[in-house]
Amino acid sequence: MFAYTVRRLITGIPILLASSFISFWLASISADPVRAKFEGRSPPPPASTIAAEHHRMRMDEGYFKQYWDWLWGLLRHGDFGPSAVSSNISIGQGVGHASLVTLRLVSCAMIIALVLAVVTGVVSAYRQYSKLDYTLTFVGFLFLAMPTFWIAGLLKEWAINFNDAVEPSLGSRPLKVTFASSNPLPPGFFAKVGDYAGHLVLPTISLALITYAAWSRFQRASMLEVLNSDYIRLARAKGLAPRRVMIRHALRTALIPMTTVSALTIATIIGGAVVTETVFQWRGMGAFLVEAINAGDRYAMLAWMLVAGAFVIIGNIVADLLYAVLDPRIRYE
Amino acid sequence: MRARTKRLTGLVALAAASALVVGACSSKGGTTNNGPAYSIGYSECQTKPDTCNTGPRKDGGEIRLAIGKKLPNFNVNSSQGNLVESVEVMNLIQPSAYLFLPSGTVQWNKDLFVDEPKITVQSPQTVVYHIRPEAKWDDDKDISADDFIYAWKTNNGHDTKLDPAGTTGYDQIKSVTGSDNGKTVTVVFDTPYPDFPNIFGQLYPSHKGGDLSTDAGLEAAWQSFFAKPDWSGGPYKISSYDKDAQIELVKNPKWYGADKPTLDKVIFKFITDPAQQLPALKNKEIDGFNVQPNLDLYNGLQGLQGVNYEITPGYTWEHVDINTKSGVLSDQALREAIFDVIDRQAVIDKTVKPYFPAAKPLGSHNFVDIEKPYKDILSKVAPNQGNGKVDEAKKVLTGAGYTLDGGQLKDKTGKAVGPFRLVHTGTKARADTSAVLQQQLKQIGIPVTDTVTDDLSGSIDSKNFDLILFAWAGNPMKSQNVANWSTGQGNNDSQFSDPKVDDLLKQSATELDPQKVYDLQNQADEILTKAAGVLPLYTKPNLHVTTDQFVNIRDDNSGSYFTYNSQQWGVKAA
Repeated sequence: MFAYTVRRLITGIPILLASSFISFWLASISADPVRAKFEGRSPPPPASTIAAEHHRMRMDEGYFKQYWDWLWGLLRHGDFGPSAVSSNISIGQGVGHASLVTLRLVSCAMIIALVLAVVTGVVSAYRQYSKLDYTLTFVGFLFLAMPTFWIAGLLKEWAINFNDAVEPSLGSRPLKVTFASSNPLPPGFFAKVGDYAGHLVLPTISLALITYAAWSRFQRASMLEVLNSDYIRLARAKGLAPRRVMIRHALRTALIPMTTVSALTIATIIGGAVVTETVFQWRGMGAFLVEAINAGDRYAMLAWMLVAGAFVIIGNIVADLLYAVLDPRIRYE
Repeated sequence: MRARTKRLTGLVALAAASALVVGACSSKGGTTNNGPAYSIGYSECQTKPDTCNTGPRKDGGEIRLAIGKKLPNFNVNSSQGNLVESVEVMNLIQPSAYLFLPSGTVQWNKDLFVDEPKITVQSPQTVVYHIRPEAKWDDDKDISADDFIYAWKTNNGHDTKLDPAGTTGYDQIKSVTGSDNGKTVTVVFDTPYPDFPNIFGQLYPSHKGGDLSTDAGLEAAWQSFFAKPDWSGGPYKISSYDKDAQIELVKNPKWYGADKPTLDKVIFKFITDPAQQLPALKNKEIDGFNVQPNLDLYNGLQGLQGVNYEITPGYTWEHVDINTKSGVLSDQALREAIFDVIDRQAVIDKTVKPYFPAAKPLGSHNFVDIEKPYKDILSKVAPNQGNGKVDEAKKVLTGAGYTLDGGQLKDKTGKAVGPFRLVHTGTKARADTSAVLQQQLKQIGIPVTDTVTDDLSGSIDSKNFDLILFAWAGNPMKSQNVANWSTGQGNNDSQFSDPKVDDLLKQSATELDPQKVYDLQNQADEILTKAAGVLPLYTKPNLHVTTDQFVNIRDDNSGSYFTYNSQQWGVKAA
């Protein structure tokens, strides 16, 4: 399995390189960071300033040279290229910090979404066409139809009203609507945990609800297919306890398609995090990308693409490895 | 010199706007669009913009204000650091020679200078500044002529390795010298520069920069000021900085000014999506913000307890330009007819009027309507322009040989006129304006194609438009108008050209008597108004919001921004 993992990681490299090349090309033809920066300034900056900025952004070189310089700098020095925003800003540090913030948000949201999706999907399948199934199906479709920003906006309003209600008794407003934590953090371990939690609740719920809605439908369909299969009927006929049939035989098999779907939707979740992070002002990968696009910052866009691509590749490798755990017939050489 | 450069991607803008709608609809305040542009706490700002919300302060407290961008760096004179938001923060730690007060009054800095800087010699223009003996940086070094010399040498464009945001004014200086131990600064200009209050706006402590006698030394100093300042020459100094979240300032104990700060802390939080600032205020995570208003934001403020707001006019003005070199649009009669049929009041009613009732059509290309030299030139020399005069427009067209055939305007040769591409950035106000203009031009048989661009500068530079809708950001200084209307100048987007206008504007650029500058520019305006190349629409307002526990804080839409008097801010005394 170790050799398989290494092989998969190595095959991910050309994929990342190809996508970086395409991304660089698309970013180069769609955005001019120097123009974006100086747009609307009256009077415009002197020609020497514009020329210096073009040079700093390596835009006085040919396209392939720009790409090669970026790649070579990245491989040799870990240099992600110059930031279009300012020469004192490190894209590498920025994307590193942003990816940790997003990992915190996305991992919490994914765990909640997975648990909710599996539980509601299994219950819906087991109680097919019952009132409970219809209710859960309705709720699932409701969240599926809601855009992330809409849920986030609603949650914010709810949180503000909630805080208004509890503030007189608590003396504080526990739910926060901006940023990933207070600055500085309050003293004491529990106060710090409370602060992180207060900031984490709303964005996590908004991201998790969207994700759960889609996954619960997959889980229900997958579970129904398994429950109607011959080997489950055989297990029941053998007199196995219904609980054992459900969890050991049916759910384990029904989780395999879910594993594929959840791995494939990592990219979608990171996409959803763009909106969630903007609404809640988290400085994660989403905010990093939005700022890069606004500034026409091609090297920052590339850095985002590399990290997001790495997330997706690693997520898919993890999914492949989980297949072997879930299905004893699968073995990797 | 600076322009607000707040942008959002379409996706996030849509998301934010929709979230606000959700918020507004579900909040207790309900929705209304007929309220005033000033809440009770700021009602005096209409008539007393420089002194409104004044009151006694008590010691202590902190204020948390949202600003809409993270700070790229701390060198606000560099092209990379020259953002409105950066200046808003740096105002608290940097001395400036002049302040542009909310009323537009240009005020010399009484904390920095002993007396008003004066032109002591007319030719060559010589200005002398007397710095107060007590004016010092927080390390007890004098604020001196060296700081002025550093500003001049790094902003004059001489050293091409530096990236000044602008060289205007500095590039006309011949020398800057110090005397009286550096406390007297004498600036001699090569060519007259009437807007001299526009320079030495953000001073840096030159002694922190090292050896400034060589270009290499200047470059090193320039770069060193990109970093977080560990110095201050203002009422506050930076105590902590998280580049992603906020910057915190505390009192500068060495502050030499007359008004001492009372707030223990001023915190600027970087809330980069303007739509998220109101929810943060409602959740008591911030105490105020300062943004361009929109109807959703305005409605969201209605009914909020303990919150004051003011929507004030400023120096940014919206206009529609015709590309005078684009085919049939080179015909002045056609351009006149287009401007005659446009009803600016209808545009205003559809866009800013609901939250800014004082909005009215702008009648000048060189002055906004809050300025004293403002004259309604349009009403005087082209009374039909911008007033929805359909019949007059048709008369002009008929007189010039155009015919209206089945709802389509045709030129003398029988060729259909248009469709014309109306280019704009797609903001809601501009999309609404575009829709109104399309309807209005249809009345004289001119079809218009709505064209949204995300590269406004590109469209302007390449002259890739027939009509274009955007705004100019100005300030009380007037030399910038020369670049807007002179032949071949970078900002002359309609490609208007008239030698008389060139001459008048050239004279105004070197005239040291302000009244003569105003007269010359108004004369030039009469000519360019008749040429029908650029139609001013209205001045764009700004929204300033704070909770009612703070006094002496108010908006400044004239160029020094709302932090111009931070040393006077405080918690209201009971």
